[in-house]
Amino acid sequence: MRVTKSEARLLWFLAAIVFVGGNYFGYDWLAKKQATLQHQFAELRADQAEAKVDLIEAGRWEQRKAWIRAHEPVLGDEGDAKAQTLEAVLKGARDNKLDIIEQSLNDAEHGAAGTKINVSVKVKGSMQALVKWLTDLQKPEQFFAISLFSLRADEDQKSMVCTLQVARYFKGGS
Amino acid sequence: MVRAVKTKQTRSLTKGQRAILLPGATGAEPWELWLLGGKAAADLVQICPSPLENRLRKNTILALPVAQVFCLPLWLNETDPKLFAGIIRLQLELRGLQPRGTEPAVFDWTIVAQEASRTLVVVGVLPATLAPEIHAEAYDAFDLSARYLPFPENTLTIWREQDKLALTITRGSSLVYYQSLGEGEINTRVMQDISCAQVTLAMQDILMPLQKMLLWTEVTPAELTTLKGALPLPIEQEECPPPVAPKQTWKLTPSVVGEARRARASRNWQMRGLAIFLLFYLIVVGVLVTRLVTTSRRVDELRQWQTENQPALDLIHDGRSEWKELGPVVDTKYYPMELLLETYQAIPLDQLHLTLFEAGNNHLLIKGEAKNVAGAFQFFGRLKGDPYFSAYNLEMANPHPLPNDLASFQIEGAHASN
Repeated sequence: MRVTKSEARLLWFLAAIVFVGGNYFGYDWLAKKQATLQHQFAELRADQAEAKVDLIEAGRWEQRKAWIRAHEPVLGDEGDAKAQTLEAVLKGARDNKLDIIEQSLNDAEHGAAGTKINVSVKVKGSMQALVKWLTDLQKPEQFFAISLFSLRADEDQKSMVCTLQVARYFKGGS
Repeated sequence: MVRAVKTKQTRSLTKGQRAILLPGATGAEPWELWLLGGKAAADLVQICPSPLENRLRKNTILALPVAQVFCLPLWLNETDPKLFAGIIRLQLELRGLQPRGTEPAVFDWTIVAQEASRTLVVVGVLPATLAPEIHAEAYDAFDLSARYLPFPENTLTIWREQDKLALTITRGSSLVYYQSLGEGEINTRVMQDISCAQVTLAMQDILMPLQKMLLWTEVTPAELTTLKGALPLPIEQEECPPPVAPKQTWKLTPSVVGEARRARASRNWQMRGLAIFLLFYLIVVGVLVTRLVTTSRRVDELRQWQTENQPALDLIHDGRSEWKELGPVVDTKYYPMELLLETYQAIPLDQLHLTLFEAGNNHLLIKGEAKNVAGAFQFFGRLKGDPYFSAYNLEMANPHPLPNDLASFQIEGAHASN
């Protein structure tokens, strides 16, 4: 079959349209794919930079985990733990000659660091006794934390009234 | 007439050699390929049935037969060669030799004689249509066969081209007229043509007195008698000599061939352009694809690195979140007693006393009474400047002056981590 000049021109025109169209869509696809990859690459690079900094500190975090495993008390029965925690707090107060005005047990909380047993106490005494009691109480290896602390002068202006919410962390129970 | 042809076929030309394809004397050997120039004499190397059979055609001049080129000797009233082309074109138009349509006439010329104010030129003009075998595009150049023969001075020469008789006349040593006689033998019609040409040229003052008639072909005694009776010139008969290259070749490229060459050149340029475009296109595509592949590979490498280090990172992140949750146990900045101590250290000497100190849930509340308003502000300034409280956004409302000249104040702060 012989192709005339106008047919040949039309064929060229069609081929040009197909070529341009194909390139348009091809480039569009390629550009989107490149942009997505570029975005992923930038995110992964940032993550890697952050992770590298973290990995430098890996030893420190291992030491800290080991310290937590070695010192954090293990939760047995939750009731026993509550009683022990309250008793430990009250004993310290009594040992430091503080008057216990109020005491209560709060709900336990569970988190990544284990179970948190909360107790609340209100005591009255001299500032010196209070400071000594709280210093003994808040030692890291005992896993006691004072989550709420309120201190005001008593009406007699000689002693202080301290309201505390004390929490003790236990391993397990989550 | 017997011609010696080289038995070994020539495939290429040596330096200084030119190949000429001349019409042969007979129809049995219609085309002869001659090699001119170089160290050797003119050499007949091939007999070709048609110009297309010549293997050396890319480097060969195709000498057109006399029958294919119209001859026009002209006196031009001009001596400047630069103006000749325009004048000759006008003369061709005047004589109806300009082809119809837009195509220009294909012609070339040689100066035969020059006088003070006029010039004699012999012009070769291609007719509008040529024999198809002449349209051999591959030939290097096209010329006239008669220009390659060494005609003697002031001579009328009769010779043979492809079985047809041809006539040439020289003025001095220059070829001034040629014509195909259209017949294979000398007869009365041929003699009329010769006489007519001679008279016409003489009338135009183109001819110088002819010295002889030369026959480069074999003739019968009857033909010779006819010749002797018609022209009062001594007649000599010789073998046709080998060709000699003229000083300058004519350019009688047929318009069809010229068009085909231009079309081919245009096609070649188009193909070159297309090839360059394709090359550029492929480079661009290559660069884009390479970039994509490179980025993809980098992403894969980073993902692999991430996968390899994920267990270690998970351990670190677990430890960090656990440590963060245990912040009130292990971080002294969460210790209320530490906060209280720092607060007391910020109190200016004998300036104020605290009435309430509350800390917990990342919130800090300090109430007190200062000696005066300035004392309260001084205390607040010290707290804000203390690095220990840098993590708290501390705020204090205006102190409230009391009747006993003291000023009560209240400072609140929220931990920045909230």
